[in-house]
Amino acid sequence: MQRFILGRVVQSIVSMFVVSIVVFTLVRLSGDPIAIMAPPEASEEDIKLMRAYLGLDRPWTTQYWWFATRALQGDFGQSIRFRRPAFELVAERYGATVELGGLAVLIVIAVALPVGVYAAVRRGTTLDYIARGFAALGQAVPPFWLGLLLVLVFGVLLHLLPTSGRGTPLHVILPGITLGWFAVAGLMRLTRSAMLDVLGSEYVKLARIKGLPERQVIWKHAFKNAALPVVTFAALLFVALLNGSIIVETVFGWPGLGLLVIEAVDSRDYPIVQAVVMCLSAMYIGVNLLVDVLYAYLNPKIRYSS
Amino acid sequence: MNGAVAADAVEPDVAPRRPDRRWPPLVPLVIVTALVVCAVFAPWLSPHSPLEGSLGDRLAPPIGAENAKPGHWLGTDRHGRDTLSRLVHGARISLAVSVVGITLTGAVGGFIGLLAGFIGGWVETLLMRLVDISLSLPGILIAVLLSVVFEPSFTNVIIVVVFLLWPSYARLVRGETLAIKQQEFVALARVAGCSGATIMFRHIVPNLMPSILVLATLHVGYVIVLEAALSFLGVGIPPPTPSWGVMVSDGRGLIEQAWWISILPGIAILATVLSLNILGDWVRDRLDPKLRQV
Repeated sequence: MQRFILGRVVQSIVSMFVVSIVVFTLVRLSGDPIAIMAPPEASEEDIKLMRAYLGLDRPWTTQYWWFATRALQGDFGQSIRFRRPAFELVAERYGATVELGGLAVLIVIAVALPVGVYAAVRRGTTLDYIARGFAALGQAVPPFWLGLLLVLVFGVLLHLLPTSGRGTPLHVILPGITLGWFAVAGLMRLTRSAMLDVLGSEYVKLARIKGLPERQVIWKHAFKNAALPVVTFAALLFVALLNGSIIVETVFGWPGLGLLVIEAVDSRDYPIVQAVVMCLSAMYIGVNLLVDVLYAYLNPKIRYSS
Repeated sequence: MNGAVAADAVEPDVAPRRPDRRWPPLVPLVIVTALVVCAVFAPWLSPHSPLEGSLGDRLAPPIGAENAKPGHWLGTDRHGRDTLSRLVHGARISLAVSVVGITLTGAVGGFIGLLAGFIGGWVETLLMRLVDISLSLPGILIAVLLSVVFEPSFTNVIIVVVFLLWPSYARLVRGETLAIKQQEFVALARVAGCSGATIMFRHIVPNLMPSILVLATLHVGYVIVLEAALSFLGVGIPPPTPSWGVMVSDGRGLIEQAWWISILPGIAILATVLSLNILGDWVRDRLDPKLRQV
């Protein structure tokens, strides 16, 4: 198991390295940063000075080294639009994204697990059909459109909920549902099929023959064993949520990292895009690593392999 | 590791009774056929230009509502452009992105998987590590990065599609190649003096095709949603091109006065993707029941 974990850690570091290379190369490819930064009246001499000051006259390996070491210290340069360090802005917006993601995870767990479990237990009933219909639908509904539909229904027609921005607890409800929707569909489907596999097993039959109460059979005997694939997938969903948050934040004007980066695209604010891409990628890769370690721990086949 | 692909990968759904699977499900088939017809014959089918509107007809609601303008069945947007015409042309974009994107992805990912499986050794290790790394990079962020560096474009969308999906093809093809390599006809081809390249492309590739095709059909719906999402965010197909995602985005600020601008293209996406997913499942069950467990 140590070997497995070590391998995954090394791989995550390599992934992060690849991300940094991609970011570095793409931004360099985009043209001369001086052209954006220098005022139009700058003289030839000024531009040369600026180039030397920014280190743009050095070989690109040196430039990459600077870029990487600064990035590790959280220095991504000044935002062109806000005239403030990009990392500071990222740190400010981070909380909003985590709040939204957290609520979505809660919704996903609170809805998908019980419905998935009972859809399997009462297979073939109305509940099962509704759950399966929802799962199929959930994966075909584009999240940005679902968000607008919710705005239309709950904001415009019913005037029940605020549809934009952040502030009261009510503000987070619609974005939370939109973000969680897709994941609910996926996890519900998986929980259902994992439970179906387990419910047919001998030990569940035995538990029933022993006369244990149904609730105990379902949750203590069956669900515990169905949980392994569910755990892996739940973590994948977290990663999908990170991707989805960019879309949902844009729809609802939720002031998180996703909105920050999309606004930065419009104003071509490179430092912010760099900072957000690097930070979110780190989070993404970190979660992936954590999931694999957790999976290795939960799965005896890996845990006991040398 | 994106949700849609992962969700498809883990679905050992054991239905109580399997319905007759010889014929494709009718409704989804009709919807997808209609979509393809719209995409191919868009210029002849659409009643108006998708790009030019008349300002006199701005924000007309669909037929049946009050103040509807005759001739604009599904209403118009804020530039007076006909929604129906834009929807029909949008089908073109969706189809183009999925066909070009998935063909390229299948070719690139398939080739890499083929090399890994056929050659083995350190080449295999290296390529499969590359697959793992690629899976751990966030796709939408790459799209954002591309569009801030270059202008948003069709090419960017294709790059993102290839980037996100090639690992699944590489994994699938490598696994299949490993199995096919063991078979007798490959050994015989070798004895007959065929070169490595001949064996790969003449003897192995044809045997890989069914699985690749199945995976490709399962991906079409996902790619359509991806394109729409990127275009909606302003990092995909640039406006005024009538991509469905662009249309939803166009109507965002007008959701109170003119719901149809955003809601109708969303319904188009939903119906298309749902149909494609159902058809994809059918193709998978018909062609390659093995894949159900992959």
